[in-house]
Amino acid sequence: MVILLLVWEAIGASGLVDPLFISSPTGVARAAWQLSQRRDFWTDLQVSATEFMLGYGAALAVAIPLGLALGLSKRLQYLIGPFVDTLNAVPRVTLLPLIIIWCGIGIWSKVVVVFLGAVIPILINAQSGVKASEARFIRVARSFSASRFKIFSSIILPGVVPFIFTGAKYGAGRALLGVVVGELYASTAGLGHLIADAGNTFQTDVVFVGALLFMAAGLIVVALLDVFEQRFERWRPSPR
Amino acid sequence: MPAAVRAYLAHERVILGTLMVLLLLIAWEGLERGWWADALRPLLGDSAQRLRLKPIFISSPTLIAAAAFRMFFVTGEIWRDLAWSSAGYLLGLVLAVAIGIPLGLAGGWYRRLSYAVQPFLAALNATPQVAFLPLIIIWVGTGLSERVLIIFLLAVLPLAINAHAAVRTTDPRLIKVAGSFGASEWQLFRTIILPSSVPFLLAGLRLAIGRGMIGVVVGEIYGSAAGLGAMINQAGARFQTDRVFVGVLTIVAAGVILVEVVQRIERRVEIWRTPA
Amino acid sequence: MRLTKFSVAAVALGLVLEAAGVPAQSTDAIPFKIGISAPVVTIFPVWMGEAGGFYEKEGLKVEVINMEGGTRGLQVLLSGEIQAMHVGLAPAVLANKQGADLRLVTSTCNTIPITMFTKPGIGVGDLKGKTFGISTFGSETDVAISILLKQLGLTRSDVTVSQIGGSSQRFGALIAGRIDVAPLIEPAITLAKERGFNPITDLAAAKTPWIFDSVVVSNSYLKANRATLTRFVKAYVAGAYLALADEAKAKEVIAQKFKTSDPKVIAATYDDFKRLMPRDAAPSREGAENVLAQLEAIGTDIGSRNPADYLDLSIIEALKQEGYFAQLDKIYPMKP
Repeated sequence: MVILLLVWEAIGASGLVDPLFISSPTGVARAAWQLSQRRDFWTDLQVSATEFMLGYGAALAVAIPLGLALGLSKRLQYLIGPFVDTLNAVPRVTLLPLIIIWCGIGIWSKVVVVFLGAVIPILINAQSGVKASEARFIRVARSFSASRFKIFSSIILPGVVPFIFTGAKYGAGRALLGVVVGELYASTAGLGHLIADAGNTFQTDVVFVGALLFMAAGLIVVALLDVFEQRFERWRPSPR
Repeated sequence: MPAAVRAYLAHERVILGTLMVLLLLIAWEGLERGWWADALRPLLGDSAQRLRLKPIFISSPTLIAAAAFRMFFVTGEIWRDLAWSSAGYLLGLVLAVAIGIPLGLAGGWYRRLSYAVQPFLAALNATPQVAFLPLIIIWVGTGLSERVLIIFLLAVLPLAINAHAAVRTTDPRLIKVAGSFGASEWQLFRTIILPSSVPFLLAGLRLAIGRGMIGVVVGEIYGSAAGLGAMINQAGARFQTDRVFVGVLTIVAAGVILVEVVQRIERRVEIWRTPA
Repeated sequence: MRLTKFSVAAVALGLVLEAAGVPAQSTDAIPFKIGISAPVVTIFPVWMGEAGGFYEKEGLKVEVINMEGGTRGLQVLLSGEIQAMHVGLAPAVLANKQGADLRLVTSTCNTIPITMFTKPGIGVGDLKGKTFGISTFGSETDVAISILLKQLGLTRSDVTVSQIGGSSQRFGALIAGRIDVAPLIEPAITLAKERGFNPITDLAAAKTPWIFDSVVVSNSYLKANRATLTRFVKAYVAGAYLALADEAKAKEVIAQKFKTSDPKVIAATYDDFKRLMPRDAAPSREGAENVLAQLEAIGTDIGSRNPADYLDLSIIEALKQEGYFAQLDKIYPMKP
C-alpha cells in the first residue's frame, strides 16, 4: 500500500505523465484540504448522506419483513416472486430517466434509486435465509410440537440473521452505487455532482477526493454492519 | 371437486404467478387508458382523474409492445444499438475474466500475494466503482475504451473475489494427500484446485454478468454515438417513455439469457463432478 | 429486533439531516420554484426580479434552481417539483408530442443567441469525428447542433455528442479539452473569444426567428394558478425593465451572478441582454413557426404544428391591457 502511494507520487512528480491525468497523493491531499474549506462541499456531503440513509433505511424497513414473509408463505412467494425476479434482473439505474419524471431532480429521485438498488438483495437474502433455517430445524421443532410463533421467533429468526446481514452488506454497495449514478445522471448537489463537474473540467485531484470518499463510505458502512453482526452473534443463543 | 383442487395445487405456482402478472399489466394499461379513472368516477368524483396518467409518465404495456415491434422489426434501429453495446460489453467481460480469475486464483494460492492484493480487493469491492467514471473519462475519453473499462471494473471484482475464495476453501486434506504423493505444485493446481474452483468461478461469472450490465448503461450516460444506454438516455430526454422501457427490457432480456447460459453450464459441471 | 431499530434510526437521522439543510420559510409568501437550464444571459430577468426585490413585492418566495439542461428541467417540471421552467420551445415541443401539455407564457429571446466555438486549429471543415458538448439531449443546444450539422452536410453519426451541462460547464469542458466543439451563450462567448477559441458560426448574427428561452408551465398549472403565475410574470418583467433602465445595477447583478469581474465580459453580457430581450416579453409566433419547421427538417417527430398549442399569451396580453408595460415605461425610462 505504502509502495503504491510512493510510486504514484513519484510518477506524478517526475512529470513522465501529465499530472492532469493522475494527480498525486499530495495533490489529492491538498485538494481535500481545499475542499474541506468550502461550504458547498459539506452541503454536497450532507445531501449524499441523506439520500443514502433515507433510501437504504427504507430498503431495510421494507425488505426484511417482506423477505421473511415471502420465505414463510409459499403462496405469497408465488404471487410476488415473479416481480422480485424481474426487478432483480433489471439494472435499476436504467430506470433513472423515468424516476426523474416521477420524482424530480432533488434528493427524492436519488432516494428512490438507492431504495430500488438495495431492496432486492436484502429481500432475496432474507427469503432464502428463512428457507435454509426452515429446512434444517423446523421438522425437529414440529416433532416437539412447538407453536408457529415459537418456531418463528426462536428458530427461524436467529437463523435468518446472518443471511440478512449478507444481504444488507451487498445492498449497501448497491445503495452507494445508486447515489453515485443518480447524482452523475442528474442532480443539483451531492458528491456525485461534485465529481461529475470536476471530471468535466479535468480537476483530477478533486475527482480522486470524491472517489476516495465514496470508497471510505463503503468501507465504513460494511465495517458498521460487521460490528452489528458480531454483537448479534454474541447475543444469539448458540445452536449447539 | 377434489380433482380440480388437486390440479390447482399442482400448478399453484404458475397459476398464481401468471395471475398476478396479468393483474399488474391490466392495472398498468388501465392507468394509462383511464379505465380506472372512468370506473371510479361515480365514487370519487373529480379526484378520480388522478388515476388517468399520461403516457409520458408510465407508458403502457401495449404502447411498449408497439414501440418494441417498431424498433426491432420495422425500423430495425435497435439492432445497431444492441451491436454497439454488445461489443463493449463482451470485451469488458472477457477482459474481466482474463484478469480477474487468474489474479484471484494466484492470490488464493500464494499467501504473500494475497497479503498484497487482498486489501485492494476489499477496498475496491466496498467502493461504488462507477465513482471512477469521471476519472476514466479523463484518461481515455468517452469512446469504446471508456465503456470497456467501466464494464471491466464493475465485473472484475466478483470474479477475482470468488476465485480467491475458491482456492481458500479447497479441502486442505485433498491437498495434503496429493502433496504426500509427491504431486508438483502445477499438478496440484490443475487436478485439485481448478476443478473444485469451477462452481465458484461460475457463480462469480453470474454476478459479473449483472454488474457488467450496469456498466453498459452508466458508460453511455454522457452520450455515445449509439448503444442501448445512450438510447435509453436520449429517449428519456425526449420524453419517449415507451422507448425507455423497450431499452430497459432489452437489457433485462440479454442479462437473463446470459445468466441462463451460465446456469446450464453449471448444471453440466454438477453432473460431471458428482461421480468423481 | 435490533435491525428495525437501526433502520428507524437511519431514517430519523436522515430526516434530521434533511431538516437541517432546508432554510426556514416565511409563512405568508407563496413559494414558487423555477428551474433554469443554465446561468446564461437569457435567464437574466429571473435574477433581476430577485435583485430588484420584485418577487417579495408580489408576495412570492421564488427559488431558482439550476437544472443544467432544458429537457432535464422539463422532466422535473413534469414531476411537479418545480412550478415553472425557464427553457426554449424545442424541448417543450418534444414533451407535448409525448402527451405533456406545456405552455410558453413569456420569452427573453426570440432568436438563437448561440455561437459555436471550437478548439484553436479546428475549422468548420474539420468537424467530422469531433466531440460536441450539449446540455442534455433534445435541448436547444442539441437542436442547434443538428441544424449546424445539416448545413455542413454531416449527420449525427459522423460526430460524438456528449451531455455536459450548461453553457459554463461546456465552456469548462472546452478549455479542458474534453470536447472539441461547444455551443456557447453569453457571458461564455466573450470569455471564449478572450481565451482565443475559434468562433466557427455565430447563429445569433443570422437573426433566425426562434424562441430560445421562456417561462414554461403546464397548462393545468396555468389554469389553476393564473393569479400566482401573473404575479411572477409581473415581477420578472419588472426585473427586465429595471435591468434595461439601470445599467449600473444590472451590471452589478451580472458580476455577482456570473461570478466575473471582467468589465469586458460584463459589458458584452449586458449588451447581449439589451439586444435580445423583447420589450413586451412575449414569445414570438414567427419564432414558434420556425422552431416547428426546423425540428421537422432535422427529422424530429412533432405533434401539433399550430403555435397556439404551445404559446399562451393571455397573461402578457392581460398585463398590456391593464397598462402594466406603460406603467413600467414610466418608472424605468429607457435611454434612447
